[in-house]
Amino acid sequence: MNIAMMRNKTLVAGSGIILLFALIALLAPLVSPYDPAAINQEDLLLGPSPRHLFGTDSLGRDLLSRMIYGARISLSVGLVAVGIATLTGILLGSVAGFYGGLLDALIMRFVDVMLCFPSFFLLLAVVSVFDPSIFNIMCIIGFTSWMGPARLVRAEILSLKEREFIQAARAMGATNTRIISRHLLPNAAGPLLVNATLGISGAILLESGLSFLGLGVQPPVASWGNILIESKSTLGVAWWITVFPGCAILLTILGFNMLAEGLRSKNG
Amino acid sequence: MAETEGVLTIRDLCLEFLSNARAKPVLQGVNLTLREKEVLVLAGESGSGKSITALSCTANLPRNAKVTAGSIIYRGQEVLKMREEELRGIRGAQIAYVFQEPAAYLNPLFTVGSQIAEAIIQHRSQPFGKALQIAEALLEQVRIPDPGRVLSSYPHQLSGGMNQRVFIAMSLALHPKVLIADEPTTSLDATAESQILKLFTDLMQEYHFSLLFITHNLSIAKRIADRVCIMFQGRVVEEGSWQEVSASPRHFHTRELMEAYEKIGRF
Repeated sequence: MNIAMMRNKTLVAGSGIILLFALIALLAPLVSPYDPAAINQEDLLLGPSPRHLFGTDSLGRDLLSRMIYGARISLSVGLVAVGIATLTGILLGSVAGFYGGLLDALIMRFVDVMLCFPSFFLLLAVVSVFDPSIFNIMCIIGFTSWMGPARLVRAEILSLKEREFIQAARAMGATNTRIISRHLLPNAAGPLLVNATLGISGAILLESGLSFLGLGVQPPVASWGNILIESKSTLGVAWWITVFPGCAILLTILGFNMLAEGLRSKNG
Repeated sequence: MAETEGVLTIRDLCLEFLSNARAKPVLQGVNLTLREKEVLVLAGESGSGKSITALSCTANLPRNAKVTAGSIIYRGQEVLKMREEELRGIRGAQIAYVFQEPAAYLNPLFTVGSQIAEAIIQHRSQPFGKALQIAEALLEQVRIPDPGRVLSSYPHQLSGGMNQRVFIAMSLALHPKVLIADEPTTSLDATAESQILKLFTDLMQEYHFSLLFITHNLSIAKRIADRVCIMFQGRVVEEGSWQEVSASPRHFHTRELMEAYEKIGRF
């Protein structure tokens, strides 16, 4: 009972954090106090103050405004990348799980091969080939992290397809596509949702990491990761440029992980 | 070939299960004819091949089952030679099933109404709203009180007897010619069982289907059967009307079944 209530609080707190961040990202033009790209020669490296709540960076840009616009990039990269990964995973995983046999063996061995590469290095290799536009980064993160969802979907389908109501659907003349889409996948949605929620925080972290290495979102577009990299050179004199984006990443990931944890317990 | 007059004729059906490269024979020459608008009760002990015979009728078999000989003729067509699309056209629309555990055979995620509607939509292209109306009418047909409320209920909210009625409604949605009921009352209590049996006989008057009723309970055979077939170890060993079979059972397994029921006083 107590644990259940605590889990419920986790769910509420997690979704609260994420809703807040998502709202800020959506309303960026309304809530950001300054133009995130406006350079101001007189206000270089100002500390947090009522005029610049989070201070300014080495070009005199308002950090809070840059972070608000950066939230748009970081969150959308997370969402779209996970969307791509989950859809690819669903497609390959359900085909493998449902049809079995040679097709299953081929797909799952391909998954194993993909999993052999440490994912970050795989990501670095791909990023170095493609031009690092935001869309490309979404796709690249998505197409290097679909293996988890694929395995999950396959496992769910393997156990679900032996259930009686699948037998019944077949006896009523349902096509395989219909059985997969109407009967199997909805029943696998719970664990998949938890996995995707966890995946979003992973993707945000990956994007930050890539941007930090200079291979992610390119300046002057702000993302939390590339604000962090710019802060590297001024870390000794301007702690706020490192701390605030770092906290934003931390809080978002915490939020998504709490949401996932809460959802997991709802799924029992 | 006098027997081809039946709606569904099974001839010398042999089937085996493959496990670890070894073949285990399950059906060893089953002969069965289901005639127009009759109730044929197929009885026998567990593992005698009743259910697998039923599933063979629409070639809806587990992956490790293999038909090695025989034929199944539905209205002059060979079922075992049909392509997948033809089979799908027959399943549900021509030959429908009712199973043992109604709650397990309904998808837990969807309301009863949307599942019946789904069954209609997948064979006849109907808008969802129209299909839902048909579903409500069907629920009324299977004597469900307050069909509007049941329509938007989930399977776990309904009792076993109710779920079985819902399943029967779904099976009848497309007016099948043959209804195969595989122990549909085994998981129900005596009252619900009695009501469901009554429902089957009533519905036969309205929907004009032939009923293949599978059970191990001979008292059901006594109550509803036009003809009885007894299966034993993958063969049909006894066939005839209830009077014939009960008065002079020829096979020892029939006698065993009869004695078992006499002992527990179920007749």
